[in-house]
Amino acid sequence: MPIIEVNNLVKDFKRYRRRPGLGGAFKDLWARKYETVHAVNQVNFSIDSGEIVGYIGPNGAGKSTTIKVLTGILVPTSGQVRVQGLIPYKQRYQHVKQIGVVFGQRTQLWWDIAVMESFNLLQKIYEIPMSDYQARLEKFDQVLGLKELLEVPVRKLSLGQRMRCDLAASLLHNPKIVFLDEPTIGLDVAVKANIREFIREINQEYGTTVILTTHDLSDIEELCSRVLMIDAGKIIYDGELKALKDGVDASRRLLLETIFPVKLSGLADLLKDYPLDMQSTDPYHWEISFNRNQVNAAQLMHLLLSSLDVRDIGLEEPPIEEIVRRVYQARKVQ
Amino acid sequence: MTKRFAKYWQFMRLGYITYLAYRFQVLASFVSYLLIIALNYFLWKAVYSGRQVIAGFTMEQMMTYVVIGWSARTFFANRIDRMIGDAVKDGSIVMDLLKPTNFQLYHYFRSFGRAVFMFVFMTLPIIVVASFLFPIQLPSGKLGPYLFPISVILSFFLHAGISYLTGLVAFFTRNNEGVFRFKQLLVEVFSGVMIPITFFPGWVQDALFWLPFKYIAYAPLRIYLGMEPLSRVHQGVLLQIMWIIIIYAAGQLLWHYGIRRLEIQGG
Repeated sequence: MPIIEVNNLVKDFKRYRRRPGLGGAFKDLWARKYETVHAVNQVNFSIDSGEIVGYIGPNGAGKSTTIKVLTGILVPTSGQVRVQGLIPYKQRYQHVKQIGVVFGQRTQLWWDIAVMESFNLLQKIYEIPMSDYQARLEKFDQVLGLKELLEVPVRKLSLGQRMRCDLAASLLHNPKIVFLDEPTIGLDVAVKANIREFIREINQEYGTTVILTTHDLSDIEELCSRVLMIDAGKIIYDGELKALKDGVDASRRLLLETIFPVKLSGLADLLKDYPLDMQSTDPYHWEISFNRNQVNAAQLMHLLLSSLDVRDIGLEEPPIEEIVRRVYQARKVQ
Repeated sequence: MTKRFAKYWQFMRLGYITYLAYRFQVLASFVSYLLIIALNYFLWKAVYSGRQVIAGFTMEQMMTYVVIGWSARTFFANRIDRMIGDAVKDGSIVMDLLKPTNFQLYHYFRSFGRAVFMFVFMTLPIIVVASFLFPIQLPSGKLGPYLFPISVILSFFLHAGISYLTGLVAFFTRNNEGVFRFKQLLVEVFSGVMIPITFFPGWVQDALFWLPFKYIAYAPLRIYLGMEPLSRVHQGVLLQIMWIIIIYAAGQLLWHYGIRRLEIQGG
């Protein structure tokens, strides 16, 4: 039973087009020219309870628009959206009670007053039982380190501190689903890691379904088993991250460092049964590239380890940025 | 039930606390209010030279009207229209829409918290200082002392409703600054803060009977001064309540249309 269902979702925006020149400006006074933009165009997907789904795509692809429709802020032009059986924009009041949302570029905390006041307000807004509220705050503090921030006015928090508080704020009422739109934008590595750990823990502990949009693909790599990829308003990939990687690029690189120098002829002879390429900068360092569909990496490593004196060995996958770039490039060519 | 309303009490509290952070910044506007009152004093002194009663007011009643009127203004004024306009413009309105709250009541109560702050740090100090400088009366009549405070609180909710409706214009158009200014002008002139309604031509006074504006300032001030017979006092308060309900309902209706029209700018 899916927790989110999206069928043939379309969201159009009207954009006002300015005509050029003074004459155009004059004409615009009387009759404006509009054009319709399909921000989201015939999108279908469904998400099961407890999933962590990464939603990726370039700027303006329709990610945020989809999230805004799912959270009930925007009314779809056509198509059906159901979240926990509710139609978000129609049953806004019941719907928003059961979801949590973080927009990385905004805050739901009250700017001029202490973080604690905003949290207490949320306790009232969502009518969270006091004992649950305190237990959850305690729990969140363990991962996010909130205690030292609670008395500070929000305007005095750093971006990373604010994001930790915002994330906690969005989950205080234990929502079944949480939408995270760019939660790691502009944050340093340590805070990013902290936030990822928190998302993972919430998902495992409470079974919270997580929809995550991000430009940082390492977020996706660390957290999401499933990826939705959108481009120009259409879903272009829906499936496992691993399958996406293998489907797009099966090339692998094996980096080898030996204790004693190795000759090219010797190595070529050892690996003569495998279709692969070898390169080296010096006799100690080797770079072996192959296709994972033709060569079993485990066998190859086993052979190398048993035949040579290996100091270090490592297998490199193509970076996910590279994969995503290729997918979009392939679409442009079409 | 109490649970559902706990949040609105909390909005009020936070509205109050928010302004507390800026309590020294109100000093400048405190001084400007005193200047306006002083200006009015010299103006009316010139107007009243050799005359006892103008448009039904004695000089002392007029000065009381001015002082209580302008100081009450600090209490019932609000920024709801601008807050909604800004939130739509910068897109932060999404954060408000994601909360299971009544958007209209949220604004009413948050601003009421500001009003309480203003009462403590503006209204009362202005009255105290002005009462040393100018001749003013205490509330008169049997009901003045009791009904006036109630009536001014109703003024707040009436004016909050008008500002809310004006603010929702931002859902439909991007050029809302002009509309906000126009609303402010209507309130300043027709609420009777600047001059009592009795100075206007008869047909304007008749027209104003059918509009909500004069119930913001003129009606409560007449109650303060004890210038209305008992029946009219009751009628005035009932009309305030009626307008609050009508405008609240209009706000709910406009919201349901507006929310479908809303397009959020940026990320």
